[in-house]
Parts: sequence; C-alpha cells; structure tokens
Amino acid sequence: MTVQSRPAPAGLWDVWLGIVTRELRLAFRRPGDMATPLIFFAIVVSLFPLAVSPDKQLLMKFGPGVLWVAALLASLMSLGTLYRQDREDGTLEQLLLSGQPVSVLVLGKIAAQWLVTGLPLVVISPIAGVAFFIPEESLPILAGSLVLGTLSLSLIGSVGAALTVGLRQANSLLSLLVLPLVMPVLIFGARAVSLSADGETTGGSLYLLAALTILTTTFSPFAASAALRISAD
Amino acid sequence: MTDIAAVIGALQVPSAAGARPVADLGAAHLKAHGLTLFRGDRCLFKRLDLEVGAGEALHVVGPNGSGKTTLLRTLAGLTLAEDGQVYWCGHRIESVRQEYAQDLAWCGHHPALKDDLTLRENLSLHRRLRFGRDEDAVARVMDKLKISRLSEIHAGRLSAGQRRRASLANLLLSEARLWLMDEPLTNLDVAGKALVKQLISEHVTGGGLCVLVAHEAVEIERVEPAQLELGRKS
Amino acid sequence: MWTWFHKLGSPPHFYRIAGKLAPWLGGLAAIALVVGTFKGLVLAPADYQQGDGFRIIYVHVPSAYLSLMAYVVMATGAAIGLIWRMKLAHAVAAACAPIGASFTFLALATGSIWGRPMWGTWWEWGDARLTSELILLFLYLGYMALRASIDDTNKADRASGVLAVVGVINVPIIHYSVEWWSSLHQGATLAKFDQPSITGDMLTPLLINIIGFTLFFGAVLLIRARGEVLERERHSRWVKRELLGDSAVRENIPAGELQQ
Repeated sequence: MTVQSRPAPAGLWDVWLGIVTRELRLAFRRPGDMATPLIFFAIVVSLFPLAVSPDKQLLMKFGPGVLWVAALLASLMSLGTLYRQDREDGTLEQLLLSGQPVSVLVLGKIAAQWLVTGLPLVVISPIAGVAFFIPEESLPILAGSLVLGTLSLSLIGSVGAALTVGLRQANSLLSLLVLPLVMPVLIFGARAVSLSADGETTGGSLYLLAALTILTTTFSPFAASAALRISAD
Repeated sequence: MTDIAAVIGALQVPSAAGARPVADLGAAHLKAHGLTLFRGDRCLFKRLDLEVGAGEALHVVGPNGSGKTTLLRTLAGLTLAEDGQVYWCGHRIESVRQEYAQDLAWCGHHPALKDDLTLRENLSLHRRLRFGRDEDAVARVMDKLKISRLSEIHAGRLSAGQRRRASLANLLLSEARLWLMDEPLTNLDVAGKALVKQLISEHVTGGGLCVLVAHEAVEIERVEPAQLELGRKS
Repeated sequence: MWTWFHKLGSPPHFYRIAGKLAPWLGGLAAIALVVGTFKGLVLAPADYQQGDGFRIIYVHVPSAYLSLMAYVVMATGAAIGLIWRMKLAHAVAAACAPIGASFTFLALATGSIWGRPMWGTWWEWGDARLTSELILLFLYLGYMALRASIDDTNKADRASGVLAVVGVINVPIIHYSVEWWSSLHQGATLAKFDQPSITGDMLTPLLINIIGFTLFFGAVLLIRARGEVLERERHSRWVKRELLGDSAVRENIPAGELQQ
C-alpha cells in the first residue's frame, strides 16, 4: 500500500459543497426543526407591542430595533445546535480528521446554517416589518441589512458554538459569549433601517455593516476551527 | 459576467477539478516518545513510548479507565498530551496535521453516522470529503462488507452490528495507511468479528499499520500484534 | 534575553520573582495613589462648570483605562499561551480576568456617580463610554463563565484563550460603533463632560493616579498569578517544598494534605 496508489485529495470546492449538501439534506429531513427559529422570531416580535404599546408612532420608532433583536435571538437558537449533533454521533472527530482544512468545513456548516435559518428570517422580515409600520420603501433595506447581519451573526456565532459544544448550559453560555460581540452589527444594522424609515441616506451604515461582515468572514473560520479542536479534546 | 460563469462552471466540474497533489511523507512509521497525559488530577500515562512500523500492528490492552482511548486519541492528534511527541514518518504530527489526517483512518466508539441520512449517503459523503465523489468505490466497499442491501436505509434504523460494519466501510473508503481502532469488535456477532479480523489482516499484511484498543486479546491471522499494557501500577 | 524569557516561563521561577516584585509594586502604587489622590481631591482647583463633582474622574478615568488594559494583558497572555503553549501565560490571563472585571465595574459605578448631578439620573445610555464599558463587562463575565464551565484546566485555558483573542479584536470595533451610535442620538442637552478642557493642575494628579492604578494592577496581578500557579502546580515537588519546607518533600507527604 503506497500513498501514490491513493486517489488525489478532494478539491476544496467539492469539500465545501459536500458539507453544505449534507447539512441541507439533514435539515430538510427535520422540517419541524427548521421552522422553530422562525416561529420564535414571530413570537418575540409579537411580544413587544403587547409589552410596550400598540401605538403606531412608537412601533415605527422601535420597529427596526425590535426586528433586529428578534432576528439575532432566533439565529442564536439554531446556532446552539450547530455542532451538538456532530459531537454526539462522532462526526466531529471525523471532520477534524478528514485531512481537509477545518476552516473550509466550518464555512460549509455556517453556509448551511445560514441558508436554513438566516435566509428564511430575511425573507419573512418584510412581513414583520409591515406589522411595525415600516414604510414599504424601507423594507428592502430591512431585508438587505438583515442579510449582512445574519451572516455576521452566523460567523461569530459559530465561534461561540465551537467553544461551548458539549458544555452544560451551552445555550445560555453561547448567548452570553456571542451577543456582546455582535452589538456593533446590531447598532449599524438597526440604524440603517431607522435611517431609511426616516427617509435619510443609509449608505454609511450599510457599508460599515458590510465591512463587519467581511471582517468576520475572514477571521471566524480560523477561530472556529481552533475552538473545535480545543473542544474535541 | 465571465467570473460568475467560471464559478458556476467550477461548481459543476467533477471532483478532479482543483484536486491537490498527493502529499507523500515517506515510509509509513508511527512513533510516540515520552507521552504524558493527565485527566484532571489523575495521571493516565507517563513518559510512554511506542513504535509501529509498516506491516505491523499494536494492541493496546488494559482495564477500564486506564487511558486506552485517550492514548489512541493522542496518537490521532485529537487530544493534546501534556508532554511528549507523536511522530508520523519522522515528522511531528502538529507540523503535518493535514497530511497525517489524510494518512489516518479513525474508527472510534461512535460509528460516525448521521441518523437521518441513508447508509449510502453517509458513506458517499465520507468518501467525498477525502477524495471527491466516487459512487463506484462506495458500492464496492458496501459489497465487500455485505451491507449493500442496507444502502437505502436511514442509518438511525440500522442495528448496532450493522452500524459497526458501516464504520468499517468508512475505514476502507479512506484508503489510509494507519488505522486507529477503538474497540472495533464491540456489537459484532461471530461473523462480524471474523470480518474485522480479516480486514485488519489484509490491511497489515498489505503494508498498512494498525493500532487497536480491545479488552480481550485479538488473534489476527498472519499478524503478530505487539502488545502495550496500560494501567499497570508502576 | 531569551534565557530570561524562558526562565520567566518556568513556574517556580515566576513564583519567586513575582513574590519579590509584588510588594515593591504595591508600595510604589500606594505612594502614587496617596500623592495623586491628595493632589486631586484637595489641591486641584474646582472645575468652573462642575464644581467639586468632577473630582471623581481621579478614580473613574484610571479604572476605565485599567479595565481596557487588563483586557489587553489578558488577551496577550492568552495569545502567548496558545501560540507558544506556555502554561504560565494562561495562568496570568486567568488571574487578569476578575481584576479587569472589577475595574470595569468600578468604572461603571464611578461613571454613574459622576453622571448623576449632570443627567439627573443614575444611568445614561447615550453616554458612549459608559455603554461600551458595560459591554466590556459582559465580555469579561462571558470569559469567566466559559472558564468556569470547563472542568479541565488545560482545556479551559485554551478555550477561553480563543475567546479572549476574538474579544480583543472586537473591543475597538465595539468602542467605536457605540461612540458612533451615541453621537447620532445625542441632543444638545447631553453635556459632553467626558472631554472637559483639562489642564495642568487638574491633569497631573490624573496622570499620577493612572500610574498608581497601573502599579496596583501589576501588584494584584502578580499576587493572583502566584495563587493560580500554586493551584495548577499543586502536585509538583517544588510547590510542596515551597509551602511545607524540605522535610515534607523528603517524607513524601501526598498532595491532598496541601489543601489545608
């Protein structure tokens, strides 16, 4: 048996696609699990008018922030389970020992998680936006800012998920670790929507939001793979 | 526009696209020197040395809790030892992490199968991560292990023995020179155990290496495994 | 130079050197703090705008400064521990966290007290510095919570190390985004009291106090780090020798007895 008789190692695209395909397949075979974060989003969003006031002016003012916070919390729900199953069935070890760069595998998992949770949130956000009297012209900004925001959150959240996999109270700890780190994303994202609702230019906020997304895309996979190795110890 | 077309094209090209050259580290040889590991306050092993060459097998024995699995994990690079080094083909495993992982197949306690995927989907992905899509190889291996008839069943519905065979399939699909096996005979019936021993025998006599952890002595045809006993009070 | 660095990385050496250094730092800190506080509370002239209320900056500003510095020291220790696998660096990082969290809390409390006469309330979200101090406190608490939930010391060190490094990159981002956010919402009503035109007589005590606080931080860090080192190395011979004397080592007293 020699190394040369082995086939060539898989290309990175193939690896990434393979992971994304697997995760999507797994998600679609449990449609109930996919729906939970979205329902959670809807419930959290509904809590605010009930707890505060149904006054239109007030809702218009708070709407962007409420929607953003609810989207963050709903995304965090699904992030908590990102690596949990892998750890329990032994797949995590296989990922670490697959001979492929773990950062590519992590990016695959993040992409799949975003497609399953982040993207649907973005899609239903305009509906929630209408409920908060956000003007129609601002709804694309809402969706657009949430695309960037949920991506950033998935990236940063994956680092938190990797650090807390297998720990007691992993979900609460995950929120505690991740939420302070995503506050800048929240600030710029919610701000962009508010500005748009007030009819002002949103360029600055959106660019800053995009910059944060790029920054997190650059660092998170490496941090997450380091964290995974540590957690698998 | 041309960029997007190129990307889409790259997505559809079969796995050979972007394939990387095979990294050859040289003659297969596993060596550990001075391994020391604590679990909390307990010292599992101290200044442990071991060596396995091509065509050799090592059998790690010891009572429960003596650190057999931990030793195996340390050899794989999953667990970090307090002190000491593991060498693969003369290189420290930390410096050749990826190449080492490509040369290594891990067969742990858990069969590493996704319950909601069919057997075939599980094995195909395992193969794809290593060498790209290769349905023929998957079919061949399933045939060899006599689990072809189970290929469309969700892994969650397989019996423990069938899952074990599936994890052996993963082992074969990785075409690795070093096999690290943790209690490979559990949950298998007589035929299954014979199959495992036959596979190990073929692998080792073909020039591969095998380190296995097992409670009882494992007799393998044509292979005289060296023994390493853990948990002896020194 | 490298030999010194390597020597410092050895726990028994660090223990002894830190033991000798800490009292000196503590002593200098005490002197600096007494001088600075006296000059600040008594000698410095009252601010024309805020009267005597501004004097709390002599505690608030150094605490805020130290809360950030402690995080940087913690992250640096964690990075050194992760890259060079120096256990001692991890011990220093672990020792830093509660100190940094305390400074952050102190900064928040003094900031709130300072703001009360100005704002009429105990808290003002619009104050960028205070809000980002709050987020910094959350980061510290998250770090300590993560450490606490991992039982294995080695693993806890490495996991919280990754968190600290990720956090330190985020700290400037958080700081500037909060500042940007507060500048948007600030009306003319909010007095920007955190940037008074500060001169000579007012500035000197502040600088002295900052130095004093830093020395204090150094002293407390060394003391806590020594404690961390002792706990981590409690099974080794040098610890037994250190705590119980040579006779204990000869008689081979088991580590359990050290827990008295």
